[in-house]
Amino acid sequence: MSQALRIVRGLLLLFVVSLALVGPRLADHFAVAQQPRPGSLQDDPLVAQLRLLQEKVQAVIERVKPAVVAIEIGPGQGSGVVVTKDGYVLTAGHVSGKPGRQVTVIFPDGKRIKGTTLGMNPSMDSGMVKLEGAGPWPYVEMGDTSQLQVGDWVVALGHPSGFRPGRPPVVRLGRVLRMSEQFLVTDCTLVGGDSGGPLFDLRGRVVGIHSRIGASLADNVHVPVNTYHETWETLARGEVVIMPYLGVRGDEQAEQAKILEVMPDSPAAKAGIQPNDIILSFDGRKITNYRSLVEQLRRKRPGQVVSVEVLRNGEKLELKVKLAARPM
Amino acid sequence: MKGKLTQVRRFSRVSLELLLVALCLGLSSVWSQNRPAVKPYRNDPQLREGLRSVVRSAAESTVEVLVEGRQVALGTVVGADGYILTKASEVKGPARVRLADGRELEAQIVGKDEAYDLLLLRVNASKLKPVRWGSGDDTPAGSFVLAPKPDGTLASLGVVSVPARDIPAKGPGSYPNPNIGYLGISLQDSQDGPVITSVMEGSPAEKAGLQRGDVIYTFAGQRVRNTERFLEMLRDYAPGTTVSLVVLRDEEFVEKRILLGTRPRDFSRAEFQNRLGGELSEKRSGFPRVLQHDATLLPRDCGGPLVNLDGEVIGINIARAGRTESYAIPSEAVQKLLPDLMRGKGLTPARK
Repeated sequence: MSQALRIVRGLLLLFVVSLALVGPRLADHFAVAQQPRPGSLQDDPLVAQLRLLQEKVQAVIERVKPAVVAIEIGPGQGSGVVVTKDGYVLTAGHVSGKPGRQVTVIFPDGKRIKGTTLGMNPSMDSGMVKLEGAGPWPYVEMGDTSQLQVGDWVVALGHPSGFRPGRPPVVRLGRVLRMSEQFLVTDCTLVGGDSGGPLFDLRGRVVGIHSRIGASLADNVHVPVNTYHETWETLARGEVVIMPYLGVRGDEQAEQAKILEVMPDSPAAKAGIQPNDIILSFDGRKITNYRSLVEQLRRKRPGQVVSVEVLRNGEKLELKVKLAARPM
Repeated sequence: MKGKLTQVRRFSRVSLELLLVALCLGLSSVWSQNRPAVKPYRNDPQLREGLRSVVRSAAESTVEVLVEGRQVALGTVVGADGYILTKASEVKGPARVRLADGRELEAQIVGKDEAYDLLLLRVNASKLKPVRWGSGDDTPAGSFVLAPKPDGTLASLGVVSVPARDIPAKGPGSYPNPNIGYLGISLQDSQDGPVITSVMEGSPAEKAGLQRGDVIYTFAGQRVRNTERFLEMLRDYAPGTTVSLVVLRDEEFVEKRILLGTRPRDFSRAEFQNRLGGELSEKRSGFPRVLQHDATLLPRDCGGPLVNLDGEVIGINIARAGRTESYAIPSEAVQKLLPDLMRGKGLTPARK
């Protein structure tokens, strides 16, 4: 074997090993060919990957920054992000609050624009604001949370502690640590004033809206952007979104929609659904796992009566459930 | 999810309990467990290990600053003949320095800059390795930053949150000064001026007889138009000062004299949230120029270098200022201060 070939093989081996070191997600993102920057610490694939990540993050920030706003409502302040040219702003439900309130939206350049709160969804903590005037406003694209995976890098922007003249939206980097249809958790550290601010994927699309924090630096909770897609019409009409409620908890890992727990006094309890029941169909739609049950439920409205087919001790039963409004 | 959740808005109307209930009840609130859990990247041992090569050189220029045998800060070697920069306010007694090679030496104070909270120390050593400076001013938001320790490991890592910028000491853009006088009221703007919406129990405002619904008309003889302006005016008055205030109450002017107090620790919601996630530096505001990043430093990790992916030192970490904010003084500002500090700036002749 020629010496050149051996060196190439050695480098390849080194490359593969350190990809494994960083973990699969980092590797997935940066499996593209890596060109060491001249004059840099070349030959270190991890550093090369981080450099690429850094360039992507910097590009995202440059692109999205003008659309990240602060929202003043009375004495309170939160953040938001403009997602349409004509001035629809996504924020958190606890920032916008009741529909029809007057707010002031502050752009990073200090421009203050009047706005009105539109609808909100108290169980998801999503909210919406409309800017006065036709625009065009700087805006960003909304992404798709379902395409996001645990481990994906994400960029949080916002106005922590409220807007400060001369300070651009503040950047935090992290990864998706956990996710469900209800929320995303990242290690992008958030604090008061960030609420309502956007979480971006590395293509600069909004994938979440900052909602709340826990004591740990890893407890930063965001509203998945898909709920804004799903409830856009209601929010834009200035209505409060009321989520349908069944009142069960299921096993997300099981291959069937097996019920683990039935909440007392819930519609499910009243209809006679029991723990260990396997849901076979919901309003005539076949249910294959717990996730598909959740998906079907989300399409219904509180008050609707739905027939549910369950499997209990090898026997099929047909039950009628009257859905309620999700308790808050 | 562990621990208590708190909404990240400064003043919330929706009660926390309601949201928690909403989270705990109902469908689909179960974590999706079919995917592997991921660690916060800052704690990822493989990532931290892999970055040691980047900070190797800077770590050799990093020292521990000890007071009474305990590490109170890190220090940054800025001159081969024993010059070391550190965070002034953390050094509250005679300091010793433990070099990266393990030697422990007595340190003399050479110079001090109050505003930047920088202290220049000198130890009796030669051929130390000074840091290799890069540009802090030209480092854009989103760039990775690493904080090395003398043993070559990382104190933390993160990205630049806000590029280097000047921070005005007063007025728009400035930071709330914890040392301004405290009244203990919350306000809302009205046509006549700021209206008091609540008066804290036992606060200076309560003692002076201010009441909910009072409109603040003048403060220290000046007309108050709105809350923002009022807070600005308040900045000029230190705790312990007595100020006269005219309020509009039931369409009558009432004059009150108020003895300004100090803000109780951990009082505000914002302050509470800011402390979620770790201890903060005692001195964490008032720096004339800073680069803000999101590496989660401990107060005793301040004073050391902040390093980019090229291994260059782009600043000196100067404060852990909040849950999301750490500050570094950009390298250019540090280098500009150095000649004066070496000449003994900021010290009384007796101490020189």
